[in-house]
Amino acid sequence: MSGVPPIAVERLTRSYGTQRGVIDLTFTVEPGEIFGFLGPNGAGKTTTIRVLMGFLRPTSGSARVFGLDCWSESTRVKERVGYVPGDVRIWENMTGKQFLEFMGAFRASVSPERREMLLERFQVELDKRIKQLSRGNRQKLALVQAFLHDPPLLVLDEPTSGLDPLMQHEFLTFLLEEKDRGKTIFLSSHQLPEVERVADRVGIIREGRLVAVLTREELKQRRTRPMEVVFAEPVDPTRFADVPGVRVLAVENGGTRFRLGVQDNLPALLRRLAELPIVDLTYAPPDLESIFLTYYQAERPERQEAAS
Amino acid sequence: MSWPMVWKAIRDLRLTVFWYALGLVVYIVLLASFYPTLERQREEFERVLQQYPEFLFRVFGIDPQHSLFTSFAGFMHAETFGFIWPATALIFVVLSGAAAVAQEVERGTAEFWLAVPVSRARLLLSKQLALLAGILFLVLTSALALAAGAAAFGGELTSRGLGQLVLTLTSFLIAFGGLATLASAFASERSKAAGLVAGVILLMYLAWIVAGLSEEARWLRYLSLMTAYDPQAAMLGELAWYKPIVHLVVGIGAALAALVVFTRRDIVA
Repeated sequence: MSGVPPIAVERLTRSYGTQRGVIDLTFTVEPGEIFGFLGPNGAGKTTTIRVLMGFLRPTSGSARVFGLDCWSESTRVKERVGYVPGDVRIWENMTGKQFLEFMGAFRASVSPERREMLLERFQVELDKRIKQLSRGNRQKLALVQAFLHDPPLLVLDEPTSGLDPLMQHEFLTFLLEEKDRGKTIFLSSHQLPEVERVADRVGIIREGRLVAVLTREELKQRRTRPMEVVFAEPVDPTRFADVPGVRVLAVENGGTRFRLGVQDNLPALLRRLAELPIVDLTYAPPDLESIFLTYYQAERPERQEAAS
Repeated sequence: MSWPMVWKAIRDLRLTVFWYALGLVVYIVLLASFYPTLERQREEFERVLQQYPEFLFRVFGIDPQHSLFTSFAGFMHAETFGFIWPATALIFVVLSGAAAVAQEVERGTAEFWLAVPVSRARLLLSKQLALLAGILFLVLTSALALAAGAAAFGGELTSRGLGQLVLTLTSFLIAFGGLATLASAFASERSKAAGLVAGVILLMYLAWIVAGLSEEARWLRYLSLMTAYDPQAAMLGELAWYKPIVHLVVGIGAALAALVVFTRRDIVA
């Protein structure tokens, strides 16, 4: 299998009758990398993953895992994959222990040491029935079963949903450790900060189409963080025109409330704000929309040029 | 097949099949206990029953040409195996068979079910085997109850008759179990799969009744699997062998078709 990419998707289209699924996706995931698959809800992330897992047949194009066709050779694909679905639904009458034993029974080997390590790390409740578990605890069970047999490839669909912030942090740290052990990880998410933290490269999907594949550095350059600033008196928006990496997104309340899009050049902005009658400031984490915005802005002049 | 999957499917069915089996066992023994009383007053009962319209007998799977109380087999057929037993057992088989695929999709558990490195055909085959085990348990416990009832209350039942009854009941349930898993392989909701098979059963039942009542409509019996269901002849040791074979061919054929359909369909939980 050396030299064969863990995931190779080529011109993949999957449609649901008249509904859009994914259209003409092409990307490759390299060995030992964490590939973030970023997009808003309904963009086509789960459809792509279901094709990779052999739940859906491609309408056209191909999806391969370690060189194996995801539809016709799906059984062999699953031998090499640990999977967490986007919506974790487990057989409710099982206990956590029974679930892990059941899922482990299909695998050639499950190391007791690894099992213990995962259970301790994710603090999984084993003795309660699944129906008695909270969403977060079910999610932790799903994570443990995916990593239990130590597969070379992990396909994770929104794996942190339902986890508390501490456990989210712990899980992302664990992902980086697994990457250091040589694992390849396909991480689907709509949370820009978590993808930005762990992914080596990021595929951005929107309305079924792959918009771009970026390195983490490229992603950071393209995204902005939203900042809301409140002033004691109206401020002229042009005061921000010469601050590099800052865009005025909206001016409200007669010029006293500004919404800004801020790239990484925070010191210059802070110096400018210090000169102004600032009363309050909120600086939010980067969001996905800001990335899409950069693409709209890039597309718009091209379209205008083409039209003229 | 996949043994972990077979055991899980059996575990999922075990309580349901136990309660169905227990209910049928109690019913069979209870009815068998009435046999000595009815046998003593056979002629009076025969006279009373002759006053009822033929339609009423047909509805409950009874051929009015055969005297009801001339034998233990006739009595148990009229009271249990002609209608109550198959109706009850079919509810179990149809609901369990319809759950095979459709319930996993409906509840969203299909994503874990299909994430294991086992082919879809083997996964479904494992569930079909578990359903077969459930059917055998239901049939064998009923057969044991019948044998015990016959021994305790003076009914005539040969081992040949009992064996043929086991074959008749098993093949009958396999036929509809196969159809139920086939409907389930297409469906994404258990209720839709079960509803479809229940509709087919109802149509077959009506065709069978009408075929028994009208000479012109006798051809309808070829459209109904009920025609090949003959527990009374089986209990008497006079079963026509083609009858269970028809059921087995339909059941196994439908089960194989279910494997093909499930292997090719998309799963959107």
